[in-house]
Amino acid sequence: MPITRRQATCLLLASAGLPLSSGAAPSGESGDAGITELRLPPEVLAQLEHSAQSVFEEARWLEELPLEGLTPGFVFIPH
Amino acid sequence: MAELCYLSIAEAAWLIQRGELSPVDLARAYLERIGRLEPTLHSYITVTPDVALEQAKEAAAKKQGGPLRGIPISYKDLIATAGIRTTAASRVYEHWIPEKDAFVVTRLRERGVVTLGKATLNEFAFSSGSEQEFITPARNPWNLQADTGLSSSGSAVAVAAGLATASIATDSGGSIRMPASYCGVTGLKPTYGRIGRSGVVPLSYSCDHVGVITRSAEDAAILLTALAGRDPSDAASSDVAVPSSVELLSRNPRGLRLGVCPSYMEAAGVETEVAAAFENALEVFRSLGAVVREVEIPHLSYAPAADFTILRIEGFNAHIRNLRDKREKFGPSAFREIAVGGLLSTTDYYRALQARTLIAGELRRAFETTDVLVTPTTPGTGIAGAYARPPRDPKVAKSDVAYLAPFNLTGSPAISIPCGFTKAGMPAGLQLVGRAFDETTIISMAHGYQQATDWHRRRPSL
Repeated sequence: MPITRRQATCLLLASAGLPLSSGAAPSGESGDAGITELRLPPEVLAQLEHSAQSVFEEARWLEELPLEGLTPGFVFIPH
Repeated sequence: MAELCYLSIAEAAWLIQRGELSPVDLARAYLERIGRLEPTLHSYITVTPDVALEQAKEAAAKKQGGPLRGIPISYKDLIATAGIRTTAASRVYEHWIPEKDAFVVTRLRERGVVTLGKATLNEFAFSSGSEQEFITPARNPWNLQADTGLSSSGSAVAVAAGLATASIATDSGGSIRMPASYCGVTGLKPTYGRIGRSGVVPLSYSCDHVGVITRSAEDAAILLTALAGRDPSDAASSDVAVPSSVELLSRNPRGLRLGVCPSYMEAAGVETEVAAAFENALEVFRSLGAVVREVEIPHLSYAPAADFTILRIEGFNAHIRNLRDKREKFGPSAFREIAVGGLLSTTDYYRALQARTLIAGELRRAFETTDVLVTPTTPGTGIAGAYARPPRDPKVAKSDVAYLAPFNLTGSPAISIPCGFTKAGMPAGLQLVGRAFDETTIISMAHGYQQATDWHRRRPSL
């Protein structure tokens, strides 16, 4: 059974001896994040995710917004 | 000589056009001052004396030209300059010598501007600035221990210290306005798409803006007129008509409606001394005939999170090849800050773009009853001070970018101008935000304020 990126990261954190985060998962995790493109060594990936908690929290705040039915905004159409 | 280095663009242009000041003498005065002060201030990654003197001689030989002929400036070192090393403050680009000028450099070279060199930034305009490895961070000329603000620090320091008449910089989450505020100079981030970005090392496609750091709103108007207009190599570039510098300064503040947002200021907080300077500035605007009223933008406190979520994901994708192939060349902070965007998902991105729609709509509604939004540029100054009341909202409390990043998200034009000093001698900044493509109103308001006050004329002791 394939494991999710989050599960893999938890395993890596545990194996690297780093403290696990407060359990926060990246907001909207869908297994599609681009980090795998970097082919980072496990310990580097673990450190990166460990340092990313405030970034995940920031993204999670956006879940509180009333966004239902809104189109994505690419600022202005200049032409 | 120091007096020459504190001439505004308008003042220097007047003297050059009348034949009372040689562009060569002006360039030499700057190069002498750079040589003396750079070992302390580190506002340049690369100084280009030979290029500057050659271009100054060309400008002198032309005898006639516009207001930028012979004006010495710097470029943030992520703006490509043909034949001049462009590093983005990173070992990744340590040896890159572009073959072609960026759009903005071409525009200014055509007008006879003189290139003094490439201004210091933090790596790729997105490292924390605290783990610099490749370059020495710029120092704040008002207090060498004070924060300079990120990321266009060298640009703001050079303009404040008389080491450049102006500097061309970039702003994706506040990177022009914050250092302008911390260093006591004027910083303009025009509307998204107003100035072309081809040849600029990207961070975030939909949040990156090119703008200017100057000593006055008048100088910002002169540069904007020269820089704005369609860039065929930047798909986001606008062909909206560009006002002349005279038009940009022409709007009378009388009767204009200034919107303040007290609920947001309570959420983000403002240090006591900055709040006092801000209130005094509102009185100046009232004395100029403007009307100050309260406005509400209900979800503004989510804007920095939306801006930085977009910026991180776009930044990751802009740098993905170097992150993968040249990881060892990144400083640890830059790698962490940029690579972390790869941990966010397409759902995060889509949600942040929806948040942009929501907040931009709320801002548009606010602009139905107000002409300009006015805020402190930052909650504090380059030296941390005290808050009279604790900020209410953890999403933005005491955040350096609380008042800045929302307008990268919405693409709105915004200008920061000095509006006072703290007892510790640090400049405080005021921000004016306008409707899309209405730089005229905010620059005119800033110009009116600067004609009624002298904060922008104060100089650090060096």
